[in-house]
Amino acid sequence: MDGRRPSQIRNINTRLGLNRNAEGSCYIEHGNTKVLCAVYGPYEGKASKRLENRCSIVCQYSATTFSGLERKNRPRGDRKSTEISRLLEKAFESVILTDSFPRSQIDIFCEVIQGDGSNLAACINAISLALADAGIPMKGIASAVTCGVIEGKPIVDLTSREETDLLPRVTLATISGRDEVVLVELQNRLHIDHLNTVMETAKSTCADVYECLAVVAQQHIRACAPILG
Amino acid sequence: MSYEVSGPPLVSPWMMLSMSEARTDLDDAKIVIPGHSVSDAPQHFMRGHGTYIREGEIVSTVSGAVNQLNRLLMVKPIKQRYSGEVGDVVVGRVVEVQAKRWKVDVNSRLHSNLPLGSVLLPGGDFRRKDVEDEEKMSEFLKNGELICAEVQQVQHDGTLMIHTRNNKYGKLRQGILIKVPPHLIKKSKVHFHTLPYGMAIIIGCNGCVWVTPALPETFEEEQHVQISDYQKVSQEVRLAMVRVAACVRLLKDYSISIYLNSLTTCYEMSQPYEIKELYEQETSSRLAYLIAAKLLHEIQENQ
Repeated sequence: MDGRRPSQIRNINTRLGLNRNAEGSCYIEHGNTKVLCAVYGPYEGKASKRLENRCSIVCQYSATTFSGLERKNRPRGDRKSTEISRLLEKAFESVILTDSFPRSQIDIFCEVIQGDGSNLAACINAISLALADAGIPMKGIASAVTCGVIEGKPIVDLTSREETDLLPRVTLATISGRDEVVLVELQNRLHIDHLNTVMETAKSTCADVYECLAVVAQQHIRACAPILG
Repeated sequence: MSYEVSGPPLVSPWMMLSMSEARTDLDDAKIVIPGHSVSDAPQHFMRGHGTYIREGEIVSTVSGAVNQLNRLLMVKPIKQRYSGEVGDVVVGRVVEVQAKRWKVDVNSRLHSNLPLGSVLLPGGDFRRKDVEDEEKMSEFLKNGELICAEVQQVQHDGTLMIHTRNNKYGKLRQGILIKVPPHLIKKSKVHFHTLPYGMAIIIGCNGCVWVTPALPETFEEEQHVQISDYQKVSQEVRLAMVRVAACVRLLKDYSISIYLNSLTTCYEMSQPYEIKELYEQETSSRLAYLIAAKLLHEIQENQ
C-alpha cells in the first residue's frame, strides 16, 4: 500500500545502548513503527518470582497513549498489552539460556512510541538487540516479521493501514534466521492452503531481518569495548 | 535557572571515539554476537565459556570477543553485569541484616554474603564472635550503609562471599559514589589510591567508584574515639573530589577504561575548564578525544 513490493520490508533503523541505567537498551524503527526497549538484570529479583534452577523473565509491553490511530487511555495493563507481554516472555524464555542464571530475574521493558503495524515483531527485534547489548547468553539473535495474505499472495511487514483490514496475519519469530521458531501468532482466519506459503515467506524474511540486526549488533559491541581495556 | 535544550547527538559520543583511528586494536573477525559461528570444527577444539554446539559448529551465546587458549575456544563478553572473582575489591550497599550475616548488593547477579565471622569488629583482631555480637549486628552495619570489601569466595550459583577482615576494608562514611559499567574498570594490583589532590579514591571492581577525603585506614586512629563522627572537609578538597567525580563520569560516558593513570590524566587535562563545563557535550567530547589519544600514545611508547 505504501509503494513497497509484496516481499519488501520497511527501512530498519536502530540505535543501541541509549539508556545508561539499563544493562542493555535499544531503539528500533521499522518505517514508522518506533519501539524503545530496556533490559535490566540478571539481578536478585522478588522472592515470589524466584526459580531455583533458572532465571525468571519478566516482560512489560506498553504503548504510549499517542501511539495508535485512536488515543488510548490506558498505556499498559489492558488485556491486549498483557497478552503481548506474556507472548514475549514465553518467546524469550526459549531464546535466553535461562539455566545459567539460577535464582535471578531479568526485566524487559518495551514501549511502543509510534505504532504503525507489526508492533509485536518490532518489539521482538528490539528486545533481541537489547539482550545482545546486555551480554546475556542466548541461543542466537531472534528476529521477527509480520506477514499477511491478500488474494492468496503473502505480503510482509504490514503497516497499520494494512492491518485495519480483516486479513489474516501471522507473526513469526526465528532464531538467527534459521529454522528454529520461537513464536507464532495468528490473527483472523487463514485458509489452510495459504499456510505453507505464508510461513515460508515469513521465515525467509526473518532471515533478512536477522542480517540487518546482526550487522548492527556487531558494530555496537565493537564500539562498546573500552578504550585500553 | 536556565536550561539548554538540545536534541540527541547524531553520533553518540562513544561511537565518535570508536570510529576514529584509535580503534585499530580490535579485530572485526574476533567480535561475535549470539548465534555467530566461532569455529566449524568442534572435533579440533574444546568449547569453553560462552559457547554451545549447534549442528557441528561451535556457536557463541554471548556478544563479545573470541579468546583461544590452546585448543579451548571461549567467548568473553565485552559488556556484562559484574561477576565476581576472588580477590576483587568491591564497593557495595548493605540491603539486609540476617542472622549471622549481612546481605550486600554489589551490582552482581545475586546479593553477596558478608558473614559475621569475616568482619573486623572494633577492638581486637582475634576475639570471639558471641551472641552479644549477633545482637549488635545492626548497630555495626545498618541497612543502606556502604561498605568496601574483598571477594573471598565465589559459590557455584554465583553468590559472592565477601570479607572485610582488614583495616583497609569496612564501612564507608563520607564521599561520592559513582556507578559505572563494570567492564570499564581495569583490574590492577591496587584499587585504593591516595591522589595528590588531598583526597583518595577506591575503584571497586564491580563498577562502584568511591571518591572520599581520606582512605579508611588513614583515619582509623581517630575512629577509636568516636565512631560515627563526621569530619569537616575543607572547600579545596571538596572541589577536588567533585572534579575527580566529574572525570570518572566523563571517562564512563566515552567508554575509556578507568584506572589510576587515565584518571590522573583526565584530572590534569581538565584543569583549564571549570567543573560544570565537564558535563557539556562540546567540552567533554573534545577532552575525551584528547585523553584517549594521549593514553594510546603512552601505551604505544611503552611497547
